[in-house]
Amino acid sequence: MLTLVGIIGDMAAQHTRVSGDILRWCHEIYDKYDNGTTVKCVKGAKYCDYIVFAALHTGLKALNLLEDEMYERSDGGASCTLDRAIGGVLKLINKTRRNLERISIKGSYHPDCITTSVVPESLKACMDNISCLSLTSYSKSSKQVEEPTWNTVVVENEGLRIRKDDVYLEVCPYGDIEVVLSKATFNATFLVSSHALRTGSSVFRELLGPESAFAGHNRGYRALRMHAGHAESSSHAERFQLVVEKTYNPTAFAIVLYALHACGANIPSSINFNKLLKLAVVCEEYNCASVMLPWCEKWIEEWRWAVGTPGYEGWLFVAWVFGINDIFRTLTKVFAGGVIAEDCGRRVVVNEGIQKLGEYIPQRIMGMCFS
Amino acid sequence: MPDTDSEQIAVQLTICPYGDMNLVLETPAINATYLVSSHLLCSASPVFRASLGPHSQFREAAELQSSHKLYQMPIGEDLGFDPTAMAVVLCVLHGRASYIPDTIDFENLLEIAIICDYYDCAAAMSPWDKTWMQPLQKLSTESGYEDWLFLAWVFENQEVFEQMTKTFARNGVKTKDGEFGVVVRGEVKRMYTHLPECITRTRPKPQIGSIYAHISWYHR
Repeated sequence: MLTLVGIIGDMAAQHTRVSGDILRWCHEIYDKYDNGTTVKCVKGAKYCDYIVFAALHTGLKALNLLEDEMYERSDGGASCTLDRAIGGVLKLINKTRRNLERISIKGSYHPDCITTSVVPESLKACMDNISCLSLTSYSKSSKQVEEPTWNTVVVENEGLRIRKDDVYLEVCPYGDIEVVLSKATFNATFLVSSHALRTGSSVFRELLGPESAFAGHNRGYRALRMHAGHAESSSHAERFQLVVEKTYNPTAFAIVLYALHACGANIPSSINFNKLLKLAVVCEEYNCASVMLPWCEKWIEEWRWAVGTPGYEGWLFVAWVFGINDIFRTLTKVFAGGVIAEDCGRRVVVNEGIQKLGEYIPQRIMGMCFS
Repeated sequence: MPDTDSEQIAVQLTICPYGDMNLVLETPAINATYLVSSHLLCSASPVFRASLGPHSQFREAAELQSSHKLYQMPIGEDLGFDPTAMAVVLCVLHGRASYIPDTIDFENLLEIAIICDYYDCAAAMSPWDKTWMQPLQKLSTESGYEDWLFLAWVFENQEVFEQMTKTFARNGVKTKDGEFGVVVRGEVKRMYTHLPECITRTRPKPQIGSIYAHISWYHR
């Protein structure tokens, strides 16, 4: 399949203007590789439009675009290619009225770089994944020929979750350890600096610091030191890996790591509420809410309207973690009148409807409520 | 660290409690030692990366990697950095949000900009740079705040930069000492020496006559 991409890429490079020619070549290629259902395009975002174009015209069913050089450039050049890629895909789907069963675009990109004019608002809301994005256009049934519209283009949010590939993110290019977030389907590995983790988070300090209670533990500081000694003596230095077994949201986890390393440029300026909640979970777990401070203020203002709105009960947890007194007071007052225990779960009456409060309740509060 | 000069105050600041090196900044009044992490400095600043990074050929990198004690890296006294501004920059680079002030006055922000410009780490100041610049932005049009141009340049404040360069392009002159100056309300003010070099270089020779013709129009 890679050869196929190479061919299209070369053609596109030589004849960038004449779309008719490309179309003809696509058909030629299709004749040659008529079993080709998947085109894998590596480093091909430059010619992305053409490849998508070709795929649509030759009736390919699935298209995977991988852009793996994206992250190295922060000057916007690379982001523009992905921007163009997504824009191109959406435009072409709309224009050609053809169905692709699946398009996935993988690339690490900055959420702010997506052009608003091309990407509809509903898509934009979902695009705060850090390193992976899948755009999927579904045809609902085979009999009923349905033309794709904006509405049928669905971004599979949590693109990281559905991918089977492992993800590697350099949070601190000069870091000394790797944090591995292992999920059922894939591993997300983050290259970080142990100094930054220990400075910002008391939990990491416990885990990795010399004064830690885990100091004798194989996973903690001793392992790190042993590893360091080992790496010095051997010529090839593999980094120490700290495996996190809990299933945190990888995007939220990445945002917290970026904040611990003060990489403000990689932290989105706006965030959806679900992600904010996930982020609060990570911050609470690692006791590092204070490092999120400068960005939190913006996000909190963004979602302040939702305080007390049904469906946003998680606000209580967010307010607790980030120490927003007024919201916390408001919500506890609201909830205090209406907490009822049910099915060993917690439910709360809000606006006369019963809403599940969810698992996002600080344990200390739960203890107080039900003692 | 032994303090030889009796007037000098020695200050030790722990920016990163688990850091692997000390930065030492010596000024006539103060001898400041900052405990920092080389990882974060290298990630944020190309200048530190060049001198301390794992692939660096400089003496500093070799000393950092080989030393078993904390490595002490002196910051050149001739650079004239402000110790407080240096501490703020380092706190931002290490994400120590609770030590970072919400507001900074113009002179101190200028000191910070000088450091950021030297270490090429202005991008890493996000989002603090915007927080600091916000309340000062209205000063940019006032007399005495010509150095705002430098701030706008370093922290990439497009709006202010555009507006100020436009103003200066109309009113820029060369002062008697051959430096770049600007005409504000009929007086020639010296531009700060921190004017971005590429601006002074590309500017065409000012035509004094034509500029003075504009003065009356400029100050309305």
